[in-house]
Amino acid sequence: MDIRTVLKQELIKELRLEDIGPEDIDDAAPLFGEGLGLDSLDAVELTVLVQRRFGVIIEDIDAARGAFASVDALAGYIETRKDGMPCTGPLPSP
Amino acid sequence: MRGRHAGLSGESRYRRYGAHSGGERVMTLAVGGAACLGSFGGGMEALMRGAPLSVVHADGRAAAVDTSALKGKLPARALRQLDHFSRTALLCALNALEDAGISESPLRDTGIILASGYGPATPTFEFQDSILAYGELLASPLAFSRSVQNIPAATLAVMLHMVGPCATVCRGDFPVADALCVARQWLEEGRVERVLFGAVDELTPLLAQLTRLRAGLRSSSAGREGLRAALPVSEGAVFFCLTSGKEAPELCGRHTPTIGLNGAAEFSARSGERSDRNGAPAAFAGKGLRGCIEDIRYGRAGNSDSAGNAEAERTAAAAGDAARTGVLRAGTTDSEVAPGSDTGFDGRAGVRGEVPVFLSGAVPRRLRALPGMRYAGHVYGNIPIAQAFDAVSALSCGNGLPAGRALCRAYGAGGRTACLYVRQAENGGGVS
Repeated sequence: MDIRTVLKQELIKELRLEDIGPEDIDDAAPLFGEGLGLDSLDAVELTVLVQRRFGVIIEDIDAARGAFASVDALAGYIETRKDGMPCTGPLPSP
Repeated sequence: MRGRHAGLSGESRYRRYGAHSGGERVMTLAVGGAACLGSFGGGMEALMRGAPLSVVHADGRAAAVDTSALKGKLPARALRQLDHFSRTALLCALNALEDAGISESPLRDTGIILASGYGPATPTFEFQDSILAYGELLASPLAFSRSVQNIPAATLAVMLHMVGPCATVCRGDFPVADALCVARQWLEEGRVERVLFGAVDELTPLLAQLTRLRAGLRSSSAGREGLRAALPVSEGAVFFCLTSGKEAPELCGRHTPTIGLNGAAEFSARSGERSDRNGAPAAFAGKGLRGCIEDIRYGRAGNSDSAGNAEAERTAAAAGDAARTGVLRAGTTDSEVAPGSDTGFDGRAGVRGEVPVFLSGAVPRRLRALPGMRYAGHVYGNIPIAQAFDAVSALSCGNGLPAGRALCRAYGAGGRTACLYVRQAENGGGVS
């Protein structure tokens, strides 16, 4: 499964974006503020989600600022750093 | 009751007061607006029609509260981080404010206090599940934020633009009565002009299990199964806009629902009963509320004000439930139930907890512990948290297995919550 699709599914599920579907998320749209309207608490969750799901650690705020610009930016960040973990779909619920 | 408080302004129409009767402090709280939600639906009208408190599906599951009406009142995006408990509380609070005719924003001089037996249990378990599934470092921050006991009350304060003290009384026994005491204290001290009081609980498998367990423990063996089967385990919320009862006639007219507090908190729902010593009509008197509010009332045995509830007391006594007619201490007790600078809590109240214990093997699916662990049982009741470790050890020994992990969830007074995550010691010598 395409990493962008996986990302969108995880965003919707973990951040409870219950009123939209993956097809409603523009790859280039901002995740925070306008766009998806995420907030700072979501950013913390997103950091953990990326590490949990893709094994990629977002180490500092500067890295996060660039990576969290959009789905495209986050996918690019993950693709260049992930440790080979396959993106086969969302993890099962705990 | 709609619009009855249309003239209520943010200006101070209240003053500090304290009435006395027969040498005992008496204070009446006026219910300016009321709302309820349950599996039967929403609104006092539905309740008054005699709808069953617990609607059960054919498969035995109790129906959940429908909070979809919130989407017509607030933007969907603003609601996305709210769990079911908070949504239930928020919708009910909005309905109570509407019933009271209060629409000002921000809501100044208004305190909010939530009473709950279990608090937001689902998000608490989600956070604990998250720890079990991903470890401490990768547990969900959002789940943690939602698991904090006072979050629902704080969410109400934020969403309703309320400016005032905000507290949660979450404990297994008597949360409603304790929270009412806090409300009374706030009003009496002049800390606020009105209190948005809510009692909320959500149905979880654990709540159902513990409720039936407690019923069994408190019943005679003959009536145990019947009582277990008859218990309406369900979920819902009730909210009151409380003001000083002393000025209630001026504000509310002659049909003033009141809650009388005179050392023992009392709800009185039957037609013609009086719940305070000033002769004010009982709460919702003559409106057909039967068999519901009695179940959560607390009366002092032998108190003349409780005489009309002899039947309820007999029922409680038959169930071995003497605690239901216990005496609420007056005076300084008010500050014991709500810690924090707002109420001068000095930390004397003990923290109570429940202790689900997991051993090696399988666990109930809902509790979602790690594979390879087995649910061993739990200890529930007024257990000082310091004894939780003993409980874990006792359950471990009783099952002949060492405890793998234990999740100790405490009922912190006034919104303080302790979630202890107990692991088996490496050397197998007990619980660490």
